Amino acid sequence: MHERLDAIVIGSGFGGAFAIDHLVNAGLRVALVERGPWRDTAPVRAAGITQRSPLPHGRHAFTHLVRRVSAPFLPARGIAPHAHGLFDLHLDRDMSVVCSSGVGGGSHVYTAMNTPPAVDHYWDNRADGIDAAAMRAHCDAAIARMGARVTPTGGRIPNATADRYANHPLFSAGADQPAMSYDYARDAHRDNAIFGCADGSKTTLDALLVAPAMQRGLTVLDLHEALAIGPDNNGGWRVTLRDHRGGGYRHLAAPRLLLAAGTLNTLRLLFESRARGALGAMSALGLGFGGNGDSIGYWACNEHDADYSLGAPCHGHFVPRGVPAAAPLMSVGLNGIDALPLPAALRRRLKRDLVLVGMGADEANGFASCRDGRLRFHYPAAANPVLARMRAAFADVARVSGKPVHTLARFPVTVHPLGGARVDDNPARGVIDGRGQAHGLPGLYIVDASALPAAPGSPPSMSIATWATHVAHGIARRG
Amino acid sequence: MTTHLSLPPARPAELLRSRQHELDALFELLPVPAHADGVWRGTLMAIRGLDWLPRPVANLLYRVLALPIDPWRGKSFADGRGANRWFTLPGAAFGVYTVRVKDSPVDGKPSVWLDYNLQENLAPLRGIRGEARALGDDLLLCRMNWQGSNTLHRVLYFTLARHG
Repeated sequence: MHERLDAIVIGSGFGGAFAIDHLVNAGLRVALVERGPWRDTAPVRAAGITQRSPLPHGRHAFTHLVRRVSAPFLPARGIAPHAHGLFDLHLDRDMSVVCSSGVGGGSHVYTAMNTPPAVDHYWDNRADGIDAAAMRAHCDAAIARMGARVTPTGGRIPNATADRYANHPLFSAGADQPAMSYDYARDAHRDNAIFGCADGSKTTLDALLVAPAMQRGLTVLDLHEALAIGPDNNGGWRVTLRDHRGGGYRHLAAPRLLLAAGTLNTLRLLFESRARGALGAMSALGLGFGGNGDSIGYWACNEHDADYSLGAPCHGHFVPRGVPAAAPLMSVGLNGIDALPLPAALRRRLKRDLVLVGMGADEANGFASCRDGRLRFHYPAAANPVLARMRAAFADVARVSGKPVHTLARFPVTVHPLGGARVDDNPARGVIDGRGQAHGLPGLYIVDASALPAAPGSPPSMSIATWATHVAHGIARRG
Repeated sequence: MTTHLSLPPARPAELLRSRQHELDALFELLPVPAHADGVWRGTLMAIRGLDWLPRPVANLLYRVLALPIDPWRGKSFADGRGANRWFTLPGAAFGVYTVRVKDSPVDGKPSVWLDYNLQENLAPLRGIRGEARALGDDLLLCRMNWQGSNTLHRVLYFTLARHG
């Protein structure tokens, strides 16, 4: 089956969705390939999408929670319990990665925080063709498009740190709370975070960008997994797809191919296609990998009568009082716990605890490799001081509160893997140039977090959207 | 810092599970290989008439056919001619053909055209028309056709991986 297309976009997360929005607006015929299904949410239903798959809520948690698990002790490509599962778990010694699948990508499981890079002058002097002022404008536009705003104070939103710690003796919320793409006017404030949000109160990309783009001509191939890419007969690019719904294989070709499958899957696709001889040397592939300083702790605070599962997807930042230069931590309740089939007593207990998330610009000094189809991440945790800073922040919270914070300090985990196919003018240091095009491979673009030149130190959604907008604008401008 | 940059060309396992029409679509997108001279190890797949087999069964069948129970081992190309190789590689040559680049009568795109219509071949072999395109470095996807009285029939696909 051979479609006449101007561009193929693989992946529908923040990179893919923002890219297709701009490409379709520019009049290009675009096919969006997504390995996961449309999720059954209120806005997707309202958009008239008929073939949907449930979020892992209720009994569906048994079947739709995990899509793929890969680990050193499993076969090279891991095991895949269910093609409709929400999460991919990549377990590795140096760095484990959790990511999601489905139309809308990571926007289903994110905490709705959409902020600019925490690193000052993030886009300055990265590569020819990147104008820092234009990137700031792209970022501002993306945040506005997502409708992100800071949680209102006044006690109407349960557990917001700005209210909870306004006059707290031990902790302070701080002035700089993150903006979230969340409908604060709703009443429920539950089941809207990491297990997906069925009622649409959290802004997701399937409803905001992908479904509307279909009205303007976008073709969406959901449940199609890209297996291989390579140059085609006409100077463009071909993609081999596995159709998880129909059970067969499909092949598409277009002059332009944009990879936005997420760092994990874009790197896997690049490594495997390079091994087949389709991409040349691509000598910098794998370099510059990092986890954006992600650090996750479980604060067993067991607050009497608390129900931290309520609230916005993220409660906000806070720091211990009296600790100079403490790193702010995000407070996240086990939001979504009501959607899981757990014993009531356990659920009540879990609702009284908090997950703490720290984030900061790491050095992105790891690398990814792939041998015999097995993707590995090599990450020197000891050479990334931000992780020690986050561990110290967890220790401060535990000390000040007198309640333990449990961490997996020896096993770093990230939900924000980035780099590995980064932008750099030098092909020995980066896979793509300042236009997002792979060095020496015209028509092949990378627009997801694997392209980022460094860790933004904040949730990277808007940094990815900024990059995808920049690349898509360039493609549209050049025609 | 060391990265693992040199990897052998992998044979896409998915090809063995593919139907003939799916490989038709892939084949149409592939370019002509830059170099074909040399000895190549072959693997059969997508045999006409067997598309009804469940994919796992077809996959198993073609994996079995890749074992030495099938005496056909591959092909060789040199100076505009080539031969099938039997029992081992390079092995015995039987079934020869001329090699040139021409537009495929199937999809109109350029391919390496293998023409068995030669006096050296037994009469039953002279109707074979092969096509080859590059799937990757040192990896070809090939289609075997049969020239009927008026029509070119697709018979099967095979991959050729460079030997040695």
